Amino acid sequence: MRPPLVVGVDVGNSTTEACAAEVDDAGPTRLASSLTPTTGVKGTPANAAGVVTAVRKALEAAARPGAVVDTVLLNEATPVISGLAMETISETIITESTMIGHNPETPGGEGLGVGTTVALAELGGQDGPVVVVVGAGADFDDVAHALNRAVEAGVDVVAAVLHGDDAVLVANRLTRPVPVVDEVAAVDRVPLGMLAAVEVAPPGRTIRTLADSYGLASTFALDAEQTRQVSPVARALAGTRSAVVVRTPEGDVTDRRIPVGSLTVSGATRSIDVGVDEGAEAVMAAIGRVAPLQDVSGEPGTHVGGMLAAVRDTMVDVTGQPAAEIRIRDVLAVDTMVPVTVQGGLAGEVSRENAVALAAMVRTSRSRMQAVADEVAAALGCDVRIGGVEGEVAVRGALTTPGSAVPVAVVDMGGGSTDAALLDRDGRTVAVHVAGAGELVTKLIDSELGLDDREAAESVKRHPLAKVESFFHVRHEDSSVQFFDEALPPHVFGRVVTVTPEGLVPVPVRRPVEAVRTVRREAKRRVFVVNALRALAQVAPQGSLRLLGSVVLLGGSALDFEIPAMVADALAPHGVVCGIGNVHGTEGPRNAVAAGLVDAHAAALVAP
Amino acid sequence: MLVVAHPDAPPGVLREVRAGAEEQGVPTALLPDERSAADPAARRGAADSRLQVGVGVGADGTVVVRHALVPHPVLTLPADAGAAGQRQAGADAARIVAGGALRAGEQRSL
Repeated sequence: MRPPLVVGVDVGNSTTEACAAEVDDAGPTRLASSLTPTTGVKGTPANAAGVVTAVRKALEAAARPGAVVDTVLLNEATPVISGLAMETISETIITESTMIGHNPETPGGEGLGVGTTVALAELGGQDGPVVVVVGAGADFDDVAHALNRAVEAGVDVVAAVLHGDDAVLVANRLTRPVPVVDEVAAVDRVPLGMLAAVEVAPPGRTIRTLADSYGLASTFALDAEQTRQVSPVARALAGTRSAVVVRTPEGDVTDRRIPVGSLTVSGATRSIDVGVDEGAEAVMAAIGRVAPLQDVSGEPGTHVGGMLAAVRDTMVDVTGQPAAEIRIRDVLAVDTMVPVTVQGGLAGEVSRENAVALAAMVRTSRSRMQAVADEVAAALGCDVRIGGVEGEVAVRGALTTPGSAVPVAVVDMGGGSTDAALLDRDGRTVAVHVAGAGELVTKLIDSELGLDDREAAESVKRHPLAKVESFFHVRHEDSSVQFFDEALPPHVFGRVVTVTPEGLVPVPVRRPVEAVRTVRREAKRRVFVVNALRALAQVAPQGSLRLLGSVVLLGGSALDFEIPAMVADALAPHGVVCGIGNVHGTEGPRNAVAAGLVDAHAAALVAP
Repeated sequence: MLVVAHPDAPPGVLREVRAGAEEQGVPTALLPDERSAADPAARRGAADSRLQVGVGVGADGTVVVRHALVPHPVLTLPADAGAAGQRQAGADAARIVAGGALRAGEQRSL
C-alpha cells in the first residue's frame, strides 16, 4: 500500500502554489509541485477554486491524476491588503500664452530672433523686427514665398512660429535664414503685437538664451524685480531645443504647490500630522518618529483621505471586520516625478512635476481561511488542515536552500507587500510585512514614463530593454548587439523595446533606452531595496543587519532579472550572505511555504 | 534617398513625399521610371540608393517604401491616402535612413 498523499498549498497575493508528497514515518517524499493564479483576494473564500486547481495540477505533474488525497495543508494567510495612490504636488501654469517651450522633432534654422509678433496675413510695412505667426493649413511654399517677399520689401523678419510640421521646409526656402519653431498646436492663441523671442539651438544642443534668467533679462530689457519674476520661464525652458517667449503685460509662468491633504500617523504614544506635499522623506520621517506605527488616517475630503478610505473599505469586504477596527499598519511614501501637460501651454508642453506615491497596508488577525478549507474539503473529499504562520513556514522552507544556515532570514517581495521573517539560533521566528512591492514599482514606472498603460509598465518592469537599430539588429541595454536573420517588423523599427519571451514589444516612449532603464531601476531600488532593508531591520536581532547571517530571497520577484542582485548589493556592506532561494535544492525561490507545510506535517508525524 | 516615380505620377503626391523626407533632413533625388508600378519602382530605388531606402510612386499615386535588405515592402500607401499620409510616408522613409521610430501604424501618439 502506498503511503498517504499530502498536498501543501500556499495561497499568495498573486499565485497559489502546491507541493504534493507521500508522507510516512520515514518522512516526506516530494512528488511534484504546481503553480496557478490565485482566485480572489488572498484570505477570502474565493481562494478555494485556485487551491483545488493547484492540487489537481500537482497531482497531474506527479503522474497521479485523480489520486485520492489524504490531507491538504493550507497556510494561515495573513491578509495583507495594500492600496496605492499617487498625488502630483506641484504644477506649472502659463498665463496669457507667454511661453512655448517644446521639442518639435525638426525645428528650422537656428539662432535667436527678437521682434514683434505679426500674423502672416498682416505681414508688410512693419518697421522694426517682426516674428511671423503662421496659422493652420498654410502651405510651406506659400509661407516661404510670403516671408521672402516681405524681406525684399524691407520688412525685418527675424523668426517664424508655425502650426504645421513645416519648419525645415520653410527655413530651407528662405533667402535670409531665421529660426523657425513648428508644431505649435494652439498657434492662434499666440498674442499679436507683442515683443517675442524665438530661439532654435543647433542639432544636438539646447537653447541658451531663453533658458537663462539673465538671457531673458537681456532679451527683454528687464530690471532685477522683473527678472526674478520670469525666472520660472527660464527654468521651464531648460533642456528644450527650441522655444518662444512672448512678453505680455499680465503674462506669467508660475510654479505652484498643490495642497493634497495630510496624513495623521499614530504610534503607541503620540500622533503627528504631516502634509503629503512635504514629500516622501517628511512622511517617512514622521512614521519613524511615532514607531511602532498603530494607524494612519488621511485628512477627510482630500485625495489622501480618499485613498486610505478605499484601502479600509477593501479590508472590510475581505474580513467582515467593521471599518473602525481596521488599522493601517504601514505606509511607504516614495517621491517621484511625473510628466504633466502644462496648463495654458500652446504646444502641448509637458513639464515634469513632483509627486508622492503612497502604498498603505492593512493587517488583520481575523482570516477567513477556515471557509476556504471547508470548500476545498468538500470539493476534494479529503481532510484539510490550516497550519503554520506563513513567515514561519516560509523560513523553514527557505532553510532547505543549499548553503543557507541558521540564523536565516527570508525576504518575499510580492505584489502588494514585502514580507520578511527570521529564524534565530533558538528556533524562534519573527515575521513582518511592510507596505509596497511590485504593484508600486509598476505604478512608478507607468507614471514616470507617462505611459498611462499598465501592461506596458509591467513589461518594462519584467524584461530587459533594447533599441531596434535596424531591420536586422537590436542593441541591448548592456550595449551588446544581436542580429536577426529575418527582418524585424516596421512597428518596432527605431524604437525602444522590451525583450520578452514572446518577442520584442515596443515601449510607447520617445526617450532613450538609458532613460527608461534608469526609471525602471530607480523604481525597483526605491521600493524593493528600500523595503527589503526596512523589513529586515525590523526582524534583525537588535535591529542590526550585521547579525542576520543568511538572507534568502523568495517569491516571484526573486526570479526577476535584476532585483536579487540589487538587494544583494545593498546588503553586502553589512556582511550578509544574500541569494535566491532554492527550496530543497530544486524548486528555486518558489514553493517555500507549500514545501514547508509538508515538512512540518511530516515532522509532526514523527515526533508528535 | 531615391524616389522612383512613373512619369504620370501625380505631382502633388511627389511633392508631399519629398517634402516629408526634406523636413526630416534627408535629401531626395527623383528618378523617372515609366516601366514600373510603385512596388518595383521602390525596389529599384532601394537597390540603387546608397542609403538602401527607396520610395516608389505609381502612375495612380500609390506609394511604396522599401529597404534594400527587407524582402517585403515596409510601407504601402493607397493612391487616395491624402496629402498628410503621403507626407508621413516620405518622413517615415527618411526615418528609416536615420534609424528613427516610424509614425505609420503607430497605435498611439507619443
